[in-house]
Amino acid sequence: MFSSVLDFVFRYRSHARLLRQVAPGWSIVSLFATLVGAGSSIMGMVATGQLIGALYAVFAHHTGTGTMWAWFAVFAAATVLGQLQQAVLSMSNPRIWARYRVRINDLIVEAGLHSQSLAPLDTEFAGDLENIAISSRHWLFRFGLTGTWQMLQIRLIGLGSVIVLAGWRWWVPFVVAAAFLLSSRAMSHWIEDLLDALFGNSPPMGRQRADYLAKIMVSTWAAKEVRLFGMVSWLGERYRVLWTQAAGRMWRGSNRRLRPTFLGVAVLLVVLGGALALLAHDAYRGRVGASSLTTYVLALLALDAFGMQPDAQSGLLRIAGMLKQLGGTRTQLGLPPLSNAPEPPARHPLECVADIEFDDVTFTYPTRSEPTLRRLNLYIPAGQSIAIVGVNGAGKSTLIKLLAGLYETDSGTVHVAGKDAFSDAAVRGAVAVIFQDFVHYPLSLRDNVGFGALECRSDTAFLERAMTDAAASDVLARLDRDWDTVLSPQYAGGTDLSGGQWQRVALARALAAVGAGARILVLDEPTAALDVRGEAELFDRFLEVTHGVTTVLVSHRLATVRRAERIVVLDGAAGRITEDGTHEELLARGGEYATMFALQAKRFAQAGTGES
Amino acid sequence: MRTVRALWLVIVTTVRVAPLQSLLCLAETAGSALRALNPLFYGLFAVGAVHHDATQLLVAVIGLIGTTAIQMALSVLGNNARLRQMNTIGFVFSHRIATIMGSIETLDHQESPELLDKLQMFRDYSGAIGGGLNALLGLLNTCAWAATSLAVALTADWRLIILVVLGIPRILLTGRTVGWDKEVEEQGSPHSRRVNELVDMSRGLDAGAEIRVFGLQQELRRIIRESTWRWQLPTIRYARNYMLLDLINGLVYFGAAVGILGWMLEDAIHGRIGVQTFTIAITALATLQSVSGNIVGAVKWAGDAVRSATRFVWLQDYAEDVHRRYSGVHQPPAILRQGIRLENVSYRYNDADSDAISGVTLDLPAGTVVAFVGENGAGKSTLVKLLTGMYAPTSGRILIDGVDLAEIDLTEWRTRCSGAFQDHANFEFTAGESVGVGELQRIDSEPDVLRALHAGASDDVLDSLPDGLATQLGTRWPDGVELSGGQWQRLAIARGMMRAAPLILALDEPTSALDATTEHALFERYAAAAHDAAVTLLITHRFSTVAAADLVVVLEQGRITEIGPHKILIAKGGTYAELYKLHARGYS
Repeated sequence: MFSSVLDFVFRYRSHARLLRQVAPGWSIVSLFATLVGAGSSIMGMVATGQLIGALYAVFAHHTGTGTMWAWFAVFAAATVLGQLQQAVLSMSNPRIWARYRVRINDLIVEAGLHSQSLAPLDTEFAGDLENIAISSRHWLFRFGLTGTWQMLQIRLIGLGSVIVLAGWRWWVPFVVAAAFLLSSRAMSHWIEDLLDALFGNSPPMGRQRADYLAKIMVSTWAAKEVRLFGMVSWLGERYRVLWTQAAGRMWRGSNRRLRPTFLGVAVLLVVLGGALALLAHDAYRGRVGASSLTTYVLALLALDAFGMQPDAQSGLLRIAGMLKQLGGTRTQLGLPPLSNAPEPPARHPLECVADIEFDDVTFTYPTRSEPTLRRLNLYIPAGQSIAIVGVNGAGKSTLIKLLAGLYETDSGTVHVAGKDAFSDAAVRGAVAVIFQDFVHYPLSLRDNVGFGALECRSDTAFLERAMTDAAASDVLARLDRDWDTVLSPQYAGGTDLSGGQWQRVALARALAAVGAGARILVLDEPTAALDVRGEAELFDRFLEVTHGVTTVLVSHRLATVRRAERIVVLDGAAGRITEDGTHEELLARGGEYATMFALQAKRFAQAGTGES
Repeated sequence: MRTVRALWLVIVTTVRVAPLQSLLCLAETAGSALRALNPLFYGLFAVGAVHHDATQLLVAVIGLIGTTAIQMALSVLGNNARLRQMNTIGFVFSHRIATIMGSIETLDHQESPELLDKLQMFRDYSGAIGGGLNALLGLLNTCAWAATSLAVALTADWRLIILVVLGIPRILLTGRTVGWDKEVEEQGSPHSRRVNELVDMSRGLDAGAEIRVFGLQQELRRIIRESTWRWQLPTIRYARNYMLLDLINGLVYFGAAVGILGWMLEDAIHGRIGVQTFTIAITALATLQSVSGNIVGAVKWAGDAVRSATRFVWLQDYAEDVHRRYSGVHQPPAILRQGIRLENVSYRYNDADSDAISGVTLDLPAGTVVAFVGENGAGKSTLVKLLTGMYAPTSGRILIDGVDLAEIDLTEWRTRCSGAFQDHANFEFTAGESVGVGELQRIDSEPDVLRALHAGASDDVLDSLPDGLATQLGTRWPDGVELSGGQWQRLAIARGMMRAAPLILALDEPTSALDATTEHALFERYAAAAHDAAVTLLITHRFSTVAAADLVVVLEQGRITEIGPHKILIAKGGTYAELYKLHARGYS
């Protein structure tokens, strides 16, 4: 039994530690209420027996009723206390769980954001973190939270019953409790396996595939194509087939476990029956008095506290499992298992204009076998505006990610202002990037722009300048200049922006970063969603805005690219730079750039401008 | 009303899916009821001991063991059945929800905060309908236990009927909590949604890159902590209500119970009732006390379950309501003879203050390539969605060879449409399936998929895949391969090329992430293949492509401002000519 209590404590150690961390005061309140609850249960049990005994004594021996009424008072107090304890828990539990959830989410998010390198998110860590996040939202998790004190109270009542019964024959409660534990072990093996397969943190692949199909059907991102191609019944049927297969496998495994469970129950019944018979025998012989008898009977049956407690226990197990997985994943990512890492020091942006140097850089993505960049060399002097062109998948975005210090190179170095881009903290904050797949934060306009320069986020004039520079003034006008409008129609009062408007907001974000001191501006397809007028408007302002900043532009629009001081062509097959020069130089050279430009230009020539 | 329907639906579905399992689910209930008989045997035990009556003691022991044994066996059986049923029901409803969501005819619902809130609740309480069955059974168990305990108490003494009477307001009060729970859930839902979105972001590659570049890690964490707290705050606000409820229960109900027991004790002293009766009464009360702890929890879970089921019924009603509006039965024409005509078509998004498309009248003759030009937000994509039946016009008509689209079977109509979009889906199936879903009847036909890949200028995507068409896409799957943004986009284009002879081929900026060479190759093929499709709708920012269209439509703020072939519009010297020259200048 003690081992069971220890097991309880040990298994839920992380859970208990988190409770203490997040809400020490309220946890003590709940713990106290739980102790009172368990105590009043035991007290009730003892008082019931004593009361009946005293009542019998009043009859049989005509003793006074004083003792009897005293025990009745104890019984009354225990009954009412047991209810008051509930009221206290109703107050304290929501307070604990709110803080607990905040902490759990923070731990999950910290794990995803911790590493400077993006590589962990490119591997199975992302999947692990997704599973953890899903189970933290699962109803079994909620079950576990509410079940925590319930479970503790049940176990404490069990312990109290053992102590009560020790007054009769000390070994009996141990034997009965052991039998309860045995049956509960058999049962929990069965039920845990089952729950693990049903709601586990890492469900079998077959179920994951099935769930993915269901996700497609309800998703926003696939809604248009699901309808256009009439995919629903196909997806639905596949979902059914995959799910049925997965479920069939699971139940076959589970049914095998049922037999030991029944065996455990049978053993328990024999032992419990024996104990009750022994008690009856002792009572018959007069070895157990009338006042203790009922208490003992109640206590014997209360030993089922050591048995399986399906709902609360499975919920708690889920929490323990999730914490274990979270702790494991965090440890692998170099974080303390369940406490926060120290906050990184604040950024100190570079003071000077920065040059960029790629020196013999080779890089392979974690999930690929072939390197994307092979021995790439590129020097960009401080303040230059350079454009990178190349076919899809040539590695332009990769180059940018290395420059931003998001991956570590296989070999070779990337230096910004002479400092290593990946390992030197001084470089962070020096590079502002607008990515091709920039983020639509479901937050206010202020956040969406101000995220480029957190320290200036409350400076509306500063943000407004960034918006103007990004040719996004009309977005601001559309929102009635309300910087707190949420940019997502999914929230009350929120609104959505069109693709082009979003792009300008993202651009404003990057320009805000430049305004706050970033020395390098990287633009990956910054005008993909802009129309020709918007694009022209933007680039006309650009030289002015990016004065004194090293600018790297990636674009498929060669009409845009030609405005750059220098153009380099990245060859996907070779993984390095194959052409380098100004627009005119490259055209004159007649290489790949010239071919691409001619292709795009030809189509205009064919259509004619109507001027000739 | 919906609540009743919802409950009925869960029960009927449960029984229909597996009648035997459903019956076994009730085993636990029977066991709980049996357990409540224990006080009878406690009484017998006490009397037997006092009177040295071996028979009474024996009966008591056998009785206690018997109830325990049967209860345990029933509980194992019931638990097994319950989990099984819960799993199955969870799936059945998840399948239904997915099917309904996927087949609601229009897309308006994707933009409605109200609906999205409800859907988020489906996700937050995912499996809740399956779990709901669990909760309902739990409530049933608790009630059976409570009822039997009370019945046992009543056999001991008539006064205990007072407890039954007092129990009624108590149950009514507990019923109030269902309403509170609902309010808590609804107040927290938007925050919960935001938390989910942001937590998902924290492990995404795209967001991860930006967050690191701008050093937003700590800020994002702060926002998530704050939103989580706001999501949870309503539970704290309502805590006081629950506390008061518990207090009333404790003081009034159990205070009364203790009073009655004291009264009985007084009677017992005077010999008006026996020790056995008193024992039964007092132990039955203890049982009631433990049941009482369970009741609030059971009601809460059952309330959650019923709400989930009610939401499902709501979704069903909503889908049906939408469905009724699309009652078209006509078959779409086999080939388009005249073309498509928009007559005074307007469209307004939910809650928007102005029309996205306003009074558009337009003829799209069969066999033409029509390019839409205009700023972002001018209504180009909306027009495409109207033509493919994703939205229904707020007013006006769309005529397909003279037949109103509203009178055509929408599903059939869609089988005659195809397209590719900038915001395409990345289906993590095998590469072949990811393309093949564009025409499900030929999804397994390798030649067709290869042809579509070729038509979409995507052959070289295939070359980069280790197992060709059989390559699993997406790194989360075993041996899955991640594609670049451009590669995904080209698979989406190939998907749009699967259908043999669509009446409408909609290309909504599908080439934004493509380089010049690929784009060029693609448009050459469009141009060659265009006349297979009856009407090709083209949205692109690249004027070189626009110029090749038969008809150019210029949109401004949801209205057509210019329309005609490229040459004529250039000659006219309006907006189009200006934009075109602006673009062409870059290539001169």
